[in-house]
Amino acid sequence: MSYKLISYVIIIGISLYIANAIKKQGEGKIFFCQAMIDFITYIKSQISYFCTPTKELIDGYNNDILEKCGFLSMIKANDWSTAISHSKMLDSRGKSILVAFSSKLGKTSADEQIENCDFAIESLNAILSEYKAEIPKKYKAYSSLAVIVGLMILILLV
Amino acid sequence: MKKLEKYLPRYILMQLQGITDINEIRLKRDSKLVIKRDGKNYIIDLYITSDEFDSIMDRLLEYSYHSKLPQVIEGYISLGDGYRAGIAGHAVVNNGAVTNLSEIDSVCIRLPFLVRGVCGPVITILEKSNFNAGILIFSPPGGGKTTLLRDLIIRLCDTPIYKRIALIDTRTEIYLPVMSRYPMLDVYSGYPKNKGIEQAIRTMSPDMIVCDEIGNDMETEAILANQSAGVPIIATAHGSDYYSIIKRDNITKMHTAGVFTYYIGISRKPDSNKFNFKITENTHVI
Repeated sequence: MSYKLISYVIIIGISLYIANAIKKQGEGKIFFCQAMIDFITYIKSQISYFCTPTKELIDGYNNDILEKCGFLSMIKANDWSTAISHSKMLDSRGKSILVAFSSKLGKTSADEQIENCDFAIESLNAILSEYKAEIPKKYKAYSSLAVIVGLMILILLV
Repeated sequence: MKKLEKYLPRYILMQLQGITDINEIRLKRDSKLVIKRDGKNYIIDLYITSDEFDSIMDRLLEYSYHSKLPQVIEGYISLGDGYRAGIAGHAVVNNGAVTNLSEIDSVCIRLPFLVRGVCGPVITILEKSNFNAGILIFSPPGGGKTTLLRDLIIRLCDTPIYKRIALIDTRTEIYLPVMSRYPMLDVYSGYPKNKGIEQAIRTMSPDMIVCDEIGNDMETEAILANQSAGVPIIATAHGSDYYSIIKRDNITKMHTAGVFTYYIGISRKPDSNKFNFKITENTHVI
């Protein structure tokens, strides 16, 4: 019986661990998305108030989240395409938004740059809202699944 | 040429390697590369595709079209250290004013160089007037006005003359890093000429003001206003002869007001960095 109980606890534990990992990954996506919105908002304000050159405004920006995942260092080396394609925190929609944003960055007048920033911020905000709504649901579903699977195994073993 | 490594791709730099005394590099979309050397144009057998041209433009604009737009509208991109890229393309016009360029198709990169010992005749006439005479130096484009101006600035603010010089370098193409060692030289880099002249007089008490390519209404007003402050001005203008120069509206105004005591037409001596000078005295000066 104790052998069965240990198995049950291990299975429940693994399932909860997976649920938690999914939650953490989801939170990472939320933080990354939020950090990108902050970054683009910073770009927008630098362009609208000071017309700061692109390199200066990127080099002068610091953000722990974007730094830790290597995104910021890659775009500081002017390699947006690698930074975007290597990012694990973005889904295909997020990537396509950033590809479109970076392809226009620094290539048009200030007014058009501000429009480009606004569009990217708006699009990323929409994705962020979806993530925020989606993650608790996923966590709840995976946690419930873990308990159910655990109970089923327990019944089968008993 | 080292400066251009930042802007031009390697294959172009390789092609230009070993060619000395280049004055200009001309790039055109879907066309061959042209260089100007010793006043002559040479077509280089190197084709610039549209994509390559766009990539060069991105670098010249430092991926910051928005921050370079005021320069782009004026038809140039300042690259610093005396380098300047002139640009031509399709203008977006709003109420008669150029507000943007929808496409850039040609670039002319001017390479600066410092030639010493070419301004002797100008110094002689300035000494004769006790450094109290305004001078307008003129020549057709590419005639060496900026080169002469650089040598003149260094002579004026160096020993034994030691004059306080305010340089209004609107397009950041006159000042070279080597000039930083002259403490009597104050540089107003990127300032519109009228603003630079006003501020120099108000705050830096210069003995002389130097600027290039004058001629528009605001600049004329600032120079005329400066006349009452008593600071002589040395300026340049495009033109081939004295009579055509003084017929231009704004230069006529300055001429009549006696802003310039001397008009100096310059032309390059063949196969040499020296100039021929044609000096005309303004009889309107009171």
